[in-house]
Amino acid sequence: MSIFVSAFHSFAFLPEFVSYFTPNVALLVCFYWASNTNTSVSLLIPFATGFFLDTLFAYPFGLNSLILCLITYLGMKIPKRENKAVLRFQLAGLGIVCILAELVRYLSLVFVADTPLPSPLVLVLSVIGTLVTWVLVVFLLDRWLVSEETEVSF
Amino acid sequence: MSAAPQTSSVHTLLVLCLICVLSICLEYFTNVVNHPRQFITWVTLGVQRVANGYEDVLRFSRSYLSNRNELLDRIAELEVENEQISALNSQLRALETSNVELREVLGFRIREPTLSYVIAELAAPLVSPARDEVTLNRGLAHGIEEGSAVLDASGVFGQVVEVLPYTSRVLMVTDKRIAVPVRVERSGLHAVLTGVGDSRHLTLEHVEVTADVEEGDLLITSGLGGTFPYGYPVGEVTVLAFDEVGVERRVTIEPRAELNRRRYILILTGASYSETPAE
Repeated sequence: MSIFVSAFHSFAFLPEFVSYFTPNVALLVCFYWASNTNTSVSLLIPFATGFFLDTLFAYPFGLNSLILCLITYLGMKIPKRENKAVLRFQLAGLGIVCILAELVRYLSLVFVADTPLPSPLVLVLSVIGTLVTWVLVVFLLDRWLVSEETEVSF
Repeated sequence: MSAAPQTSSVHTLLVLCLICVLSICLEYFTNVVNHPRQFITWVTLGVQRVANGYEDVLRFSRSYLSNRNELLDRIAELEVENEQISALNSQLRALETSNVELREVLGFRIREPTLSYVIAELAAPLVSPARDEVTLNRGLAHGIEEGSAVLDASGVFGQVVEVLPYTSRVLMVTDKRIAVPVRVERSGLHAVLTGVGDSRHLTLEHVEVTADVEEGDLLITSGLGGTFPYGYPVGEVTVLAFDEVGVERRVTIEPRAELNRRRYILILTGASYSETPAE
């Protein structure tokens, strides 16, 4: 599902700058899954998803797998109860994770790819887009669409 | 009790990370990973088509809902356009014939073969806002080769950099990694044009202060290098300035190709297109 959503590009009729805020959907899915479920998550799924994304977006083969595996593992290590209650803590944690992911991507591109390096602004906007999407998913959807009441608050 | 699964997941993580790093290194130093990449492309083709299918749905619904009068008006417009293009085409043929005769008189040996091309459709727009790349729905199965020139109706669009079974990745002319040999149509000055990573601008490299370039000059492909055929418009000079030292001119060019608006694009196939003077 995350591969499908990642492959979906912004609508052609939207202004070009909107695409800079494209959230890292695969990262969000892996992180949400790992940090919000009590069942253990297999690392093979983010591993395989990463290879699909590398092919779709022409990244060095294995780069997204590496990032998603690390993010999923970090998500699994976050204590569930402490993390769940307050949205700003979640956003702070996710922000750090996103910056870490973008840093790994950036460093990998510096050393092994011939593609031009994205500007720091593009990375920052992508992180902002990811955080905004997290708010929509966790705060709004969890609270109003999922029947099980969550304790998420600002 | 919980130590064992934790150790196991750490081991799994380490093994998977090792595989990823190995895979990245293998791709950097060899082309071994091309086969798994091509296989995954084949698997994800359906996903990509469905994900980009919303435009097809919009177009289909728009055409389905158009009324008869709108369609008749559109046909009339296209007929007029067709007449104009036919007239221009016959004029072009006459010019081409006289051009060949003149080149023969001047002793130029023409190596330009008949251009063969494949019409491709945009499979996915920009793969990332930071990279000027698009994916087209034609690949190895359709005879596309790496390095082929890509054109649209207005000018040079870019170059194929990766060919997969049913898709190919194209670097747009505005990308920093691309260089197009061009000449100024008015003065005949040869130069190399490169992208700056901005979809609205290109630049000319190493242009001397005394070089004959003016604002509004049209740049066309020079045919040198053999990748791009001679005579296709690339862009128009919009800004002329001097560099900090005052040794070279900074030439800003607006690309002719409609980079973010085209849906159908031509990929040239076949041999090189350059021409050389006779011995």
